Amino acid sequence: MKPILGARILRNLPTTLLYILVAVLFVLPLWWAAVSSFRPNDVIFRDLFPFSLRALLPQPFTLDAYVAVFQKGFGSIIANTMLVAGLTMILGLIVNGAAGFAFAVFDFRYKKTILSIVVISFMLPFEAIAMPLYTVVQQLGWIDRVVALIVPSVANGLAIFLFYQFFQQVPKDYYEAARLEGAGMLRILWSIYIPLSMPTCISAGLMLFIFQWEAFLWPLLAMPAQEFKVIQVGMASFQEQYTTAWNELFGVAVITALIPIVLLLPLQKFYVQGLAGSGIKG
Amino acid sequence: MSGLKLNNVTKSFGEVHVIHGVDLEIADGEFVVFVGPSGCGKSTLMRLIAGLETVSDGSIAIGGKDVTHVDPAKRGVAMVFQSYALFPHMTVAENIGFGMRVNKVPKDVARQKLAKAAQTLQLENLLGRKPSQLSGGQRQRVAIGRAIVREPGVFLFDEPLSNLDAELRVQMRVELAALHANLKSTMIYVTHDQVEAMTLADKIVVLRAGRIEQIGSPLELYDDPDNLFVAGFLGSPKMNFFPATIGDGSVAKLDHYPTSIDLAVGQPPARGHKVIVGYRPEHFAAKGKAALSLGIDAVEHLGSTTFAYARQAGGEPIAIELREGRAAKTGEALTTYFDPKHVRLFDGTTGNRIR
Repeated sequence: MKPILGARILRNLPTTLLYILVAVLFVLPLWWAAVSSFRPNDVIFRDLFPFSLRALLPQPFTLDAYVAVFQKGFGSIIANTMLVAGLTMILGLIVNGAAGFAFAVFDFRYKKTILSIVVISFMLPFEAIAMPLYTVVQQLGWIDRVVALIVPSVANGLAIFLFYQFFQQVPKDYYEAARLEGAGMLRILWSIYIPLSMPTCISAGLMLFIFQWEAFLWPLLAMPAQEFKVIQVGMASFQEQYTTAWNELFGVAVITALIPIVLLLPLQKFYVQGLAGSGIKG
Repeated sequence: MSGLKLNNVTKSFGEVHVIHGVDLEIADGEFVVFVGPSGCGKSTLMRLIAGLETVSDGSIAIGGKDVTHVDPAKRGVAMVFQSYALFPHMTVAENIGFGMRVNKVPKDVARQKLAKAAQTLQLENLLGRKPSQLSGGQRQRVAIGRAIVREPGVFLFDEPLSNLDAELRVQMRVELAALHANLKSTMIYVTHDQVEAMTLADKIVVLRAGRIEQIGSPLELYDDPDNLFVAGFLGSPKMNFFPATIGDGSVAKLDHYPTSIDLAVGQPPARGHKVIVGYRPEHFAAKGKAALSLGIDAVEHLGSTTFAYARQAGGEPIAIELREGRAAKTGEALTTYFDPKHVRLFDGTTGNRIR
């Protein structure tokens, strides 16, 4: 068996090397950024031009950048973003879940048309609605208020569609059986549809959370005073006009990337399940 | 417990008329079976009674109260679905107790009811399980349990046994009959299986294309059908139908066989009138006046009895029950006899019974 195994390794060697090369190409800049956040600012570029492998090692190791970042108030920026993203997620699950339930269970006029509009709405790039949305929010007097960050993001076409698709697969018999038992619509949604759709709830919740986590343009527009900063805007502010503390910027980037990853990893199974649309076992 | 009265109940889905003015009265405590081929509207009629569909016209009264526009939950009915509709994320106990939780039944009362239902249905050891961990028959019992604890005036069963295997179906049939004897509630049961209808019902309602064809006790319908449809629907193998023409002196001459049968009907049709002679397989006799000679095409030995089948020229196959038929073989000639008192005569064009 051994020669055959050896031959196989030899035959696969070029492709394996290619894969490794591609992987390194993708990972290297991230690695460099992460490592650089643990180095003093003045050495980051020293090992890059001319390039030395030392640029990829956290040496000399220091946590100065992280200390500085939190001293400059990054902790409250994280808290702000958590608040905005968390509230959006909770409200979004309620609103989008209820909307998906309505589309899946009730029959009403122009249902298909309305559903199509909802589906199309999530395909529109945000840039396309940024200005009209700004006008609306301004008319409401919400500029520079936290509510301006949350409310426009609560209703989400994709989340509604996810719920609609899942709820449609729930046998109508469950709904009717519960109706006969005397359960009202909200009770049926809460006691039967929601528990059955945990993967969808988790997918939709994470999606809403990540949309807010990644939001940059809207928080910039809606909060011109910048007294309440969210994470993407906060990150940008670490890059100043004349000087940039690169190690701090990288530190901020690492934290910003890490938080959703930490949230996503344990729930990944559900996330994929929810998006792929899971079947119901009777 | 309550009786039920349907008055000219009509249901249309858009242009499609599913139920055409059904009038029906069901006494308190009766076990009524709606039977008919698929698409006859029997399930729709049950859903109208449950309130899961709204009537297009007419009225429904349960226990003397008009419930035509009453919410399904307030009609005093409980329904067992064909799919059982057990909530997959709830245990057996939670499934059975769901309605009581919704309706805020005091906890100790709910516990008592649950225990009693579990005991009646032998579910005591399964209360902690999820539906996916139960067999088909157990799921069925849980669904019935959920209905029982509501203590409804009327139980509705929508083809409850159709997802079970043959053996279990017979067993559950017996259990349902026992349950009815025990609870003495009004029960309405929808099925397309005429054996279930015959064995369970106090009263059978035969439906076709949204109309009631006949209402009566199982044996009434079996022995005295009003029309060809009812005659052909109940009984297995079904009643044989021979096209015939009325001859002189109230005699029916079979069209495809040289056989004349003296008719025992009150008002025989005029000479030359086209009729259908209906005759059940088990009524063929070993001797008599009107002989029927045919060649056997197929034989079914059921052990206790034997059925011989013959093809009728231009018509449906003929089934003949042979009580002493163990020796019968395919290809043999067979002569059997009609007994006029068992002949059921139907009009050749309308299919209505001629009595």
